[in-house]
Order: sequence, then structure tokens, then C-alpha cells
Amino acid sequence: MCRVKIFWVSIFACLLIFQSQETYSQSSDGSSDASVWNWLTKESNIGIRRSYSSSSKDENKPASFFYYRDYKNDLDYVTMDLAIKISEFSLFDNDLIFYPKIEWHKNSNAENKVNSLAGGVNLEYFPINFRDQSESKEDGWLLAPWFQGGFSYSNDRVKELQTLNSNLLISFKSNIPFLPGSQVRRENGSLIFRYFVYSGFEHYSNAEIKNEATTYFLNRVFMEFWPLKSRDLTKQYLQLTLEANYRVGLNDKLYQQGNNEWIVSGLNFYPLGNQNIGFGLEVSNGYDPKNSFSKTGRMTFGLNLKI
Amino acid sequence: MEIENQVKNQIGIVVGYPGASILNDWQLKNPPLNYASQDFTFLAKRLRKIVKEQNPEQTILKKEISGSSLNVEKIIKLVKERINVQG
Repeated sequence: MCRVKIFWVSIFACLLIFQSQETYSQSSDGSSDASVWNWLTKESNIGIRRSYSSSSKDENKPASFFYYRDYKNDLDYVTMDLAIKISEFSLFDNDLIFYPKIEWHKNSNAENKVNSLAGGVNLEYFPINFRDQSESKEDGWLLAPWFQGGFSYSNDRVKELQTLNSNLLISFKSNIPFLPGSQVRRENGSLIFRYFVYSGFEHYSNAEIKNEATTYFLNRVFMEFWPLKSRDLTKQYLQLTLEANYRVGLNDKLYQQGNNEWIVSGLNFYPLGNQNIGFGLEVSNGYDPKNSFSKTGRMTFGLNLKI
Repeated sequence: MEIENQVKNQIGIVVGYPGASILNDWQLKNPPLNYASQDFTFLAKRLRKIVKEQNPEQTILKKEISGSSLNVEKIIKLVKERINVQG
């Protein structure tokens, strides 16, 4: 029954994307239109992604609806990773940004069940400008630090575990090729490769049992590789991704997994040449942070959506 | 024209793309600019500086330039509106 619901949600989302893009293309003369798409996306009133877990690497991934078929064992199941961001608020001359979020991660596989709901607030802080090499030192740093963090309440309905989570990570931005946050481009200007780095602390505490908590020192890198050169500069169809996380357990009374890793590699095909809609194959291995750090190994194929 | 070139330059600097080669109908989050979420914030800081130099009362927010339907032309228009430049 649940699978049927997720199927119809996926179909509805696809129709919304196609309808909206069609409407948008009809009004590309710059005039305002009243399409559903424009209402949803005007001033980023709403965002849909894989996750808003205080990590821009997840924000760069679309929400996903995966269907898995195991012919050998006659098993099938669905996975869903959906996060919705609602508007943004800012402080300190707009350098500190807050936004509320709601997330739902689900996997119906009997041996690897996931069903977690989370709600909270994320923040991003950009205290320093980054500068181009052509600009003066007063304009900023060549490699500028920025921060992201968040507070959330999460309900893992499979493990019946409610946690209060907080985190604070530092990342860096540059436009010098091969430095974090920069883009390595082909001669024609299309993107070949980029990566993002994050480092910081995460704290998870059991909402019901006092002093049962885990604190991790997290190091993460997320890489994108676009192997194919397209004739049309505004289209790119094939993307390879790799995300590697290594967590050092500093205080580990809650999850008791010690130091652990979480590695996700992906292959995405975007039929329209943009990232609004795509088909993805993903292989994950390690200790899944969205599933209470359970040891996980899975391969999934499905639909990616991004607004 | 001056503002248009300035805005395109700033859009290009954030992602290492030559501003003079940027076309008006390109969307920032899509190829070839491929803006990541944090890139929009760094661009907002740069555009804010342009706006405040000419109209200190006004500003530009990240959420105003990161909507999925926004393209380069609409961002140029927004900056012009904020600094009250016609055309």
C-alpha cells in the first residue's frame, strides 16, 4: 500500500516538473507567469533535495525515489530520500542564514528498514568574502572559510529512537581550479570536476535517556565528475559522484560504533541536460548517518528530482 | 550596459567563468555555470556590494537570486531595480 503511495507521489512530482518547465519555456520573454513552478521556486520559497543535513553536498543532490528489484531472491522494495526547505531568514547583514526543514527517509526493505522523520533548523554563516586572483587583498581571501550547522529532532521509527541532533562544520570556497569549491573546466567552458570539503563536530543525544549521547569529529569530501563534453554548453547529461565521510567517535554512548566511515558513489543521467530530473544508480557502504549509523551496504536505482 | 557587465563579471568570478561569455538566458544552477548552494550566497555578497555602493538603502538577499526560474537577465534586472537604474 505504501509502495503504491510513493509511486503516485513520484508520478505527480514528474508531471509537476514537466508541466512547469513547459510553462516556463512559454514565458521566457521575461514576463511574469503564474505557473505552479514559479510559485514554488520564486525567491526559493521552497526547496526539495536529498537532504538538508547541514551539508551542501546533500543539497547538491536531488531528492530520490528509488525502486529496487532483487530477481534472485524475489524481493522488491522502495527507498525515498526527501527533504523540504521552507523559506530563509537572515541576520548580521545577511551573512547568517537560517531555514527550517523537514526530512523523510524511507527504505521498505525488510532486512534494511529505514523510516525516519526529522525537523529542525539549519544555519549557514559566511563571515569572509572570497576573492578572485585579479582582485585586491582587501576584497577577501583566495580560500574563504564558511560555516554550516543545524539543530534537529529526529524520529527513527524503525529503531524507536528519538534523538536531538546538532552539528557545526567548516568548509571552504575558492575559484582557483583544484581548490575546494572551485570548478575545473574544459576549454569550451563546461564543468569537468569539482569537490567540496567539510570538517567539524556532530552531537547526537537520546531524547528520552539522559547522558546517552554520541559526539563525532567528522571529515567529509564530496566530488563530482562530468565525463562527457556536450555540444550545447547549457546541457550536461552524465555525472559521477563520490562522497566519503570518516567519523571519529569522541564520546560514543549512544550509537557505540566507534570510528566509522560512510561512502556513497553514484552515477546520474539527466535526460533534459539539467539537474531538475534524472535517473541515478547509487552504491553506499558503511555506517549510514540517516539510519542511526547502522552498518549498511546497498545498491539502488531510481528517479532524482530537484527544485 | 555598465551594470550588466559588472553583474556578469561577478556571476562569472564565483564559478570561474569569463563574465564576457555569459549569456542572458543561462540559469545559474544549470550548466555551464553549475552554481552550488553556497555559491549563491557568495554571489549575493558581491551583488550587495554593487547595490550598496550606489544605493546604500537597498540590499540583495541570497533567496532573491537563487530561485529555480531565475536566469542571468532577471538577476541583472533585479540589481538595476535595486540601484534604480533604468534600462
